[in-house]
Amino acid sequence: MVAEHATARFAALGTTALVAVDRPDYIDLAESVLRDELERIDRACSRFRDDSELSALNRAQGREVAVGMLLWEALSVALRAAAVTDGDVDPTVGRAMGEMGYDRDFTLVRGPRPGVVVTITPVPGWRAVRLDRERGTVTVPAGVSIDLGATAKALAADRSARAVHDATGAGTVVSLGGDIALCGPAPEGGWPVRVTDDHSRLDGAGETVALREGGLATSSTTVRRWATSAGARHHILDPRRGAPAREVWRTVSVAAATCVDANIASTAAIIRGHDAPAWLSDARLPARLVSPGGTVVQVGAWPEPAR
Amino acid sequence: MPEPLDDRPPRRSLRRDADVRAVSRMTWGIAAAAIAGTVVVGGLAAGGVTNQAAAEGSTSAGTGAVLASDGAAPVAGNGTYVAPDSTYSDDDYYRGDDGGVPARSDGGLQPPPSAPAPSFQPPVAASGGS
Repeated sequence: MVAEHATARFAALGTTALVAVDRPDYIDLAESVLRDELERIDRACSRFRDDSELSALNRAQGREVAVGMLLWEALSVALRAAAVTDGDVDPTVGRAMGEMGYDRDFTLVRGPRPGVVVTITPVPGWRAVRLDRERGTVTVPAGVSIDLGATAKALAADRSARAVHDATGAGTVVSLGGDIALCGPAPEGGWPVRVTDDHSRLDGAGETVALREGGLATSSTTVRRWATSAGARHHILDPRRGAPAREVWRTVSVAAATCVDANIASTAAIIRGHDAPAWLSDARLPARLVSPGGTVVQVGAWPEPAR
Repeated sequence: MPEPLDDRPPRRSLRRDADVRAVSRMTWGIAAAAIAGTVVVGGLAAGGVTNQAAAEGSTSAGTGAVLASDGAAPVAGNGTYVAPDSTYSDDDYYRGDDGGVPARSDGGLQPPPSAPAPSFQPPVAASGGS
């Protein structure tokens, strides 16, 4: 059995939030800290809340605006993601995502929406976004919409795991829709995490790995899918095509020093398709890639499954 | 002039966050302060703040978050952006002369300090699509 621990789970950010701590007496405090962190990130970074800072920025029509620290951090992380992936993970996909029908919380997207017409919209590119560090301002060109979904959730996981650990002193696991961040001491043998297609399935097909530190993220085309007039769509958009990435891999899991880096790599790997294993190997990132037919490819220090 | 996006008063959640941190500090005393100090020093050192200043700031990290809720990104006296509550430093990425286009794309993705290992234990969480 895993060392003594307690877990709390609740719905947040359009997905499932989970916190586990190795000091069960502190689980209520851990949940409270996590809820506060997620509320902050949602108010700053949600594309689906009219009252979020990001929505206001997207409505600014090219005006220079001062933003709060959290949105600044999230934008910095998103632009770094674009830089280190040569634009494969691009935060300026917001409008293209909306044109694909992903224009509201996913719990509403996947419901019946007759008459949704899909249009392919060019992605303007992350270099169009200007951060002025001296003035603490951001300028997003008119007509460009920022979507921080690919990185903001992972950033929230990293921040939350650290905040929970700071507040409780406990070894901590935070999972936000399967984006996992660790902070503090790990139990002997590590924290066991199921790696699978769907984060909501602890018993899903896949394998269980033990983590001691850092982060683990999985990107998958199998879960967040919806029907449109042009056929099924998934949420991982190839910025160069302005359309969902071709499904060379249905699921990619990556371990990294942080959940953000793991998320950037797993998202980019879906988009890079056949080039992904070599790219991940060059970056020394342990990874597990699953083809649509179920073939598993392990990269770098990813372990053989336990038998 | 930049247009403020958020002039709301400090949010209740932020005050609660500060309360939580304060309780934590009382509970864990020196040990918790040492942990927070390590975290904040690590997060700020690359942002142009001295370790001494960061260490002093570490005992008021929660307060810093509350004070910053006026929506304005803080700017240090030397014009360098400082994010007391920041997890990631953007110091290496946004020094372009044209006002913010990243000048560098190195400092790439970082591998984990230790690789995942196979496990026979029942999982605590699952990593998958969401």
